[in-house]
Amino acid sequence: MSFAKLAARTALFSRPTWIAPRVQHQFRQRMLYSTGSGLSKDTIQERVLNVFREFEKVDPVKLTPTASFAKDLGLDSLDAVEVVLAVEEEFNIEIPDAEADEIQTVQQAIDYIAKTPDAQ
Amino acid sequence: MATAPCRRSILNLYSSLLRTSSSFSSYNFRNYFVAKTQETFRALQAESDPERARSMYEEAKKELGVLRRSAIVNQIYGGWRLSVEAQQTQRDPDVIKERGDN
Repeated sequence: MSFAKLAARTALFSRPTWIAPRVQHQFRQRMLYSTGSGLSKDTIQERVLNVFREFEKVDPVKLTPTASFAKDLGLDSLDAVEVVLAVEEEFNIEIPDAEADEIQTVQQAIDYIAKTPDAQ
Repeated sequence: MATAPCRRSILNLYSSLLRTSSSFSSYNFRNYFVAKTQETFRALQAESDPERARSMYEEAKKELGVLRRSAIVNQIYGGWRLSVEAQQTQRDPDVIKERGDN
């Protein structure tokens, strides 16, 4: 069978092929790497305060943004570590030990989140 | 003569242990190890004998290595999510943890 005949036959009996429609990709911008954290100061403060409120050893009455862990909230150093870890978890970040040691007041925690770009 | 471990190293060990404990994917293991770590460090805080404090610290340090390895294995072979965790799923529905062996 000549090649021309074969080609004709194939053309005749070939099943219609399904052509995949061009998928319209819809990109949803999830991360804006060039911008800052995108969290407003008020949001950060509210979420940090919520974390503290959920922490059982903190008396919600004494909780203010300026409260110190040891003096106002009555937390010892181990509690401070726990609460800083809870803040980390809330904002999906990891605070290095050296900087976590520095955080001794609620305000310092808020400021740290504010200057951390990948807090979300 | 053993000297008591310094405050900062204890706190750093504490945060690493808590972080590792909460990285277990099984609810039961996670909560058990978090509670155990808290208990161990409360006992360490109350300990006045420097020698005993040093040995407790060393033991916790060894435990951290074991926990890290087990946490990785547990993340691979997690197990079903328990119904007690359903509440958390409702809060952040993006997080879907499934059994690792199916």
